[in-house]
Amino acid sequence: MPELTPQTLIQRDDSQNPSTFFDEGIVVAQPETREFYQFNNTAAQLWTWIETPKTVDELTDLMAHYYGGTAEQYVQDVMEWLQDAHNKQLLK
Amino acid sequence: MHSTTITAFGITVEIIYQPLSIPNKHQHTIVCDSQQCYLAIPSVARYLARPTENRIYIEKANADVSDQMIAQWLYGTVFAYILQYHSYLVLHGSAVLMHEGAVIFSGDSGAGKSTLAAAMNQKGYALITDDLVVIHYNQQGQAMIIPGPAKIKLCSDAVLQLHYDEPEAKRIHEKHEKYEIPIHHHTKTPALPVTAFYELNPQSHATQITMNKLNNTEALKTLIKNTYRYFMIEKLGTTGSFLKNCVQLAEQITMYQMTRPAQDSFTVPQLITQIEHEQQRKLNYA
Repeated sequence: MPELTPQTLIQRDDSQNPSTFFDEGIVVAQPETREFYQFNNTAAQLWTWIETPKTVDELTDLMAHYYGGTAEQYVQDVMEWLQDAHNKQLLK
Repeated sequence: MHSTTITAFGITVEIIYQPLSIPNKHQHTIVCDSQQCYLAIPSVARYLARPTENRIYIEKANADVSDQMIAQWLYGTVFAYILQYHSYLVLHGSAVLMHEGAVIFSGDSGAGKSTLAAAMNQKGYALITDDLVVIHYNQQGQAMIIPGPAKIKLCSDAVLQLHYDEPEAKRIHEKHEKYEIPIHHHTKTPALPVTAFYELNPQSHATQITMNKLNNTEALKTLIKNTYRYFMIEKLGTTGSFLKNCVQLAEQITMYQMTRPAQDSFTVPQLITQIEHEQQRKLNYA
């Protein structure tokens, strides 16, 4: 994935990283590293949204619509979460 | 070449004894992909499991290899691969029947799973399985355990502590002091609901037995950790169904970690007392 910008298209990779709902969140498998990652409710919501390609802008808009506030206030958190998910090889 | 049909863990397969065309390198080897699993055990046999054909091919190392030796790996790694191919959840452990439900004991090698199951069997609890714990979900989504062969593997210490005698206890390993004990009090029910799971955790720093109830996250990690030959699931490409199976079980049953002193004397009677107490308490509460 290139450097994250507001226009970067993000999508999860279901063929590589199966996931399922668990304990009010989601658990995602990373078979290559033999790791299983558990996402809380908010991260699980992001994971659900990126089942289809979304830009960072679209994701922050969705956050603002879903949780209230402005899109700007979610930018940093969303970028950090996406970077972390990328580092864990969970994104296309 | 000759063939026979066997049924184990609710699955019937054809066993064909014949030379395998795979080159023999006389090494302990296991190679799996999504269609077949090849296992070579020097001085015993080479196995080729092909679940798509519902067949297991076996080439004995020599004519003197006993059926008991063949069964060690046949009902272990080889059947585990076939069961995982069919999306069963296969854990490493033992299980006994308590209050009409299956209580599973799991943990690292040497944690005392089989010893505990054998001791509970001697106390009157029917053995359900030893080594492979095979779970599937019924139409209502309830986790059900499928009984395994009516035998248990114990180390020499456990054979002595539990007072099993030869010839009842047959030595099955020349290098390791492992014995196989036939179990007479064994459940015949095709599938039983899973009610509890105990991970046995011997610790050198522990001074007494403690029992901790695991939260959902800890329970899921424990199930994944105690999965039988996890690498075979990766090779089969069934991680998705495996994950769903584990999550379903973690959310459905009560799971505990039982820590006990590692070097202490025989703690099995105390473990049994605590398990009986907890299962009775759950029964009263229900």
